[in-house]
Amino acid sequence: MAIEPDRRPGRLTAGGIAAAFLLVLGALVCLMPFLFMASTSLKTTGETVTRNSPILLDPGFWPSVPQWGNYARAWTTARFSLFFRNSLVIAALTVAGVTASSSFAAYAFAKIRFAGSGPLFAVFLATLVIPESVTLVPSFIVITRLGWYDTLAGLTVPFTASAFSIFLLRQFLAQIPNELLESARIDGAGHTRTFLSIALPLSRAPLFTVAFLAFIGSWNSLQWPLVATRSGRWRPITVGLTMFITEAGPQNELRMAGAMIAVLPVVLAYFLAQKQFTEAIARSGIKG
Amino acid sequence: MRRLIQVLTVLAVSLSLAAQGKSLAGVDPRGVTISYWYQHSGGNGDAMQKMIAEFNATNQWKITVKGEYQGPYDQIYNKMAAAIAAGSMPDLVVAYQNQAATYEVNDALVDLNAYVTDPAWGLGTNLGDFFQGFINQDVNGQFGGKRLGFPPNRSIEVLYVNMSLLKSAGITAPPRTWTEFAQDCVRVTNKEKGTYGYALDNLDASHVFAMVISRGGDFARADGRGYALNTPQMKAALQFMAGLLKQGVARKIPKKYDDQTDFGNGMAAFTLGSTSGLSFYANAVASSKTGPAEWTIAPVPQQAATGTPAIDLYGASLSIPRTTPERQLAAWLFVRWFSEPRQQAQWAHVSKYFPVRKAAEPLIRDMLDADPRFAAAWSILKIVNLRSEPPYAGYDLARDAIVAASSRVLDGGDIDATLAGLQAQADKIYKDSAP
Repeated sequence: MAIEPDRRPGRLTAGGIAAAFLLVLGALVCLMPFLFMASTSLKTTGETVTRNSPILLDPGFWPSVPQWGNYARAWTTARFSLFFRNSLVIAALTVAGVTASSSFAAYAFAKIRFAGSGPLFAVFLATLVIPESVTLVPSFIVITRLGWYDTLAGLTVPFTASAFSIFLLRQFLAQIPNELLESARIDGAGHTRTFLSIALPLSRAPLFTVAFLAFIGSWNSLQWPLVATRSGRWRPITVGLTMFITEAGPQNELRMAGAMIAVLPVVLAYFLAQKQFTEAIARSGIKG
Repeated sequence: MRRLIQVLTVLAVSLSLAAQGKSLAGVDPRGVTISYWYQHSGGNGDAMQKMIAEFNATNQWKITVKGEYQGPYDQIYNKMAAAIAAGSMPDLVVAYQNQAATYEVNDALVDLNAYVTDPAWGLGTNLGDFFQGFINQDVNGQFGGKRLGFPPNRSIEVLYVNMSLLKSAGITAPPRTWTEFAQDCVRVTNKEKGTYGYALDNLDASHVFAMVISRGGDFARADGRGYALNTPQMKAALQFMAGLLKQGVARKIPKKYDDQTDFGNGMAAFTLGSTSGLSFYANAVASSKTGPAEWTIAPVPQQAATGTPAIDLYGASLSIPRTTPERQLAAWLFVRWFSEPRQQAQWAHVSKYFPVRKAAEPLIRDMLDADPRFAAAWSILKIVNLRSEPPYAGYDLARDAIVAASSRVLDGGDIDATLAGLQAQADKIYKDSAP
């Protein structure tokens, strides 16, 4: 007869307390930058300079009187109405493009046997090690020649394919039993039907992850939007944040208020996709 | 003597251009639309747009300037690299001297000597009204004396001084020499009160440069063909800073602008900084409950009390990329208009930068009367020897190396080995980046 472990609540062990302490400490370390950002966003300009203690319990960490107006000032100073909308549009198109192209490509690499699929997949993977700064100039030349400079296409199309997303989805799709897909094929379904009706619904968790990562990448992007645009027409919110950088002194309260506004959609997206995100990482076999 | 030098400079440039056979005769800028990439945001950005609108509405050639914010300097630098490669450069771009040099390695810029001295479109006798230190900053020896930019405004490096703290230690005037500076640092340091001498910002190579030129040194070789970083002056500057830290009378700030924080809170007696930071310092002091009741600015201390102080000059310029003769001339005409005393005064009121023309002084009289520290800075400008950091292509990389080397020394590293390594690194940067 197997003995059940004691799971009664209220029994504290030294190991449990130490683990809890370490977890709380770790959470605080992770939370500190956000708290600093939040408190700075509510300070006066002077306070950001004279009361900028990094210690949570120090009164200098917090504003003497919260300046909620900083958010309105940040919003209007850096044209956030326009840039926020632009960021949403750019992120939505990028996410749609990445999830569509990556899922199709991943299915092909995982489940369709064709000549050269192995080397081709290796080439895709190799592109992961090329830094963005190396591809900046060639990419800019391409979009300029295509007439996409300062257009929505120039900001989205180059990012609608992602080698990492293809890799992530392929790892997941490879785990789907071939028998399951073959039974659909026996019933007369082609690859497209099999992919859309069987593989795709089973890939909900990794697709969420791919979408989430694409969203974050698009939302946080700065260098490319600045290079690929001339006017404010399609510039995202990150460009707005650069407007608080000055040569001689900081405007940290507006920068941090702007950063708080900018980070909200990312936090929201993470909470919405958290479950799928962790599930997909666990199932794909990727280890951190 | 100064006048003679100006005349000879103009003559030399004119002869050089004549030899090259360049002329603006026959170029018609009427009706041209040009793009201008700048870094100004917030109030400065709004003011710049208003001035551009005024130029567009009033210029006789019906030139239209489209002013476009393109991010901070480093982003514009990256963007220009891509734009040069793609052949889609703007008509006017803000650039530091070393950035302009990097663009010119790709033969991307116009030599503005032709425009400055052109009989029809040039500055004529107005050239003498510019502060010579300002206007000479863009003449680049690495490219045979080409003028790769034109100054729209400038600022200088000064010593910010907490007079309240100095007076509490019985010191009545800012230090004029580094020896006095070190003595003052010792006298104001009080561990119980938390006060100390110098808030040391070694995150910016310009501060190191200020300390080196004040000792008679330079970052550039005398022949303008490379770096001179392993020098007695560099060694003295770094040893001086390391010594202050070792004595506990200086504090190495952990991040940018923390020197303003300590100064605003009345803890630090001295910081080095640009005059363009005056309003930020004023704000920090006014916002603090412990801020100094009395503070001022002074020339950066020198090796000796006698002689003309050598002061670091700050400021990006406006460069004109190679496009078409008409667009280049249109861009120059905007630059020329912006350099006129009225516009210079207008820009100074908003940006708090110095005008580049002496004739603008009566037009900024209200600023000088209202702000004694700005007036003090303006006075300093007239009595100092204005010095510029090397305008070499790749100097941005050398700056990073200088900051890293100074950090090593301040952290106790071997100074001779560090400076020898820095010199070798800088030599390689110069060689790799040269045209």
